[in-house]
Amino acid sequence: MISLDRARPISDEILVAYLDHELADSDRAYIDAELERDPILRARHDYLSRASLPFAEAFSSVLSAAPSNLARKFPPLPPDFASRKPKGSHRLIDRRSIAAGLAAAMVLGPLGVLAGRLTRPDMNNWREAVAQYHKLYSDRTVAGIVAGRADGGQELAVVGNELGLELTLAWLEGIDARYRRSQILTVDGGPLAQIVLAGADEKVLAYCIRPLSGPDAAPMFESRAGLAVVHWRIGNFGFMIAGKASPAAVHQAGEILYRNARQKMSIALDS
Amino acid sequence: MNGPKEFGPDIAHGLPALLPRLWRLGMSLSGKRDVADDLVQSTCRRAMERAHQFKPGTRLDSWVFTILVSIWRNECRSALLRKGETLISVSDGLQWICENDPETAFYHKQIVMAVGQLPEAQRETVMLVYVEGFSYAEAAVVLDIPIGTVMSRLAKARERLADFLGEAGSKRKKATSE
Repeated sequence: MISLDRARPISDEILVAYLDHELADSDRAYIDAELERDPILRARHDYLSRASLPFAEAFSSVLSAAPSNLARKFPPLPPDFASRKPKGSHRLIDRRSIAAGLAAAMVLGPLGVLAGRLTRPDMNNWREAVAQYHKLYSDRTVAGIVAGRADGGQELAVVGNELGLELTLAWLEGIDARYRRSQILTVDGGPLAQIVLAGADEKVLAYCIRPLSGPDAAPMFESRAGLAVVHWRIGNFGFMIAGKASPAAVHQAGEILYRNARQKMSIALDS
Repeated sequence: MNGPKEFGPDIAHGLPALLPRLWRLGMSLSGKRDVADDLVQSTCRRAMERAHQFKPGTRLDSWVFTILVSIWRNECRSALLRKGETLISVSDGLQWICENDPETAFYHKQIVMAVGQLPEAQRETVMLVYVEGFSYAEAAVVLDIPIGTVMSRLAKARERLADFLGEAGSKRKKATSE
């Protein structure tokens, strides 16, 4: 409620607050009495009350003009997303950077290009690049590939060699997705291993690993290019899994792959 | 008090229902459908990034509207300004919507147009208080301004709206009598 100073003349602001029912009952009674007594104030009140209009009804047409697919554009959160709090200031900066990058990247028109230029460089662009690339995959992209365990192990060994990691099928154990293929791509001038997996309903998942210096970081969920993404960092390697599967499915796969990677890399570091 | 694990579901469940209202505010700020789309998306993603900052028991709509207003002011508007696109009236975009909705009454179209012609500061305040139903105090938080500024903006907006709709009413009467 707005407090009223009765020692001062009644202003337009106070009259509008009166019209908008923002005054306490005692102050309303005071204004009622003043309006009864003062014809000039009453005329001012009548003038301002002309703008007491059915705004909500009038703007319902704008509400109904909202695109019907807005809800589809909103990626739902995994159940424990919000329990992942930033632990240090560097993480906060990172989150702001992610948000700025996302805000710029998802704007499709020229405004987005401009906004992208205005924001500071996004240090996480490799994930954006991977997500944009993976966005081109359909459920049929790897439907014809049937990789046996031996083939998969061989491919992973070759790809892992490019990174300096001993990748095996054991890195993928426990996830609800089947190995399809792996290949080496390039990002920021360095190697990026892409391991393609087929999850439930043949939804394609991309598990990517690249050298990336920086402190270890626990899995974080985000949405990029319409894909659910989980990313983390261990031993100067950046990891991410992305896909068109449900955020919960990607989240679950990310947690398992993170545990596997941490276990395998601690073994490798110890040996 | 709710634990932090309950923050996410609050937002996940509550946000989809708010999307049309967010879009309407974006449309009322920018007058452009594509910018309104982008504002909604940016707001959702920012809300997800900052889900841990939302306090259970407080108004989710107020929180996400605050995010949308911030993104509009700090990112989208400056980008549009650099392109000189603010020369296009917000009321043009709103008029387009009204003209394409045969259900909208003429009187309601006039109100939407009148609000669209208000200066941005007054328009955003009118939208929050008179269209969205926020109290003065809640609107002040969303817009990050003192409550006295909310009051002065609304008083000025009412003056303009009273004049605009008075003129429109007079013209309508004159046209009818001719």
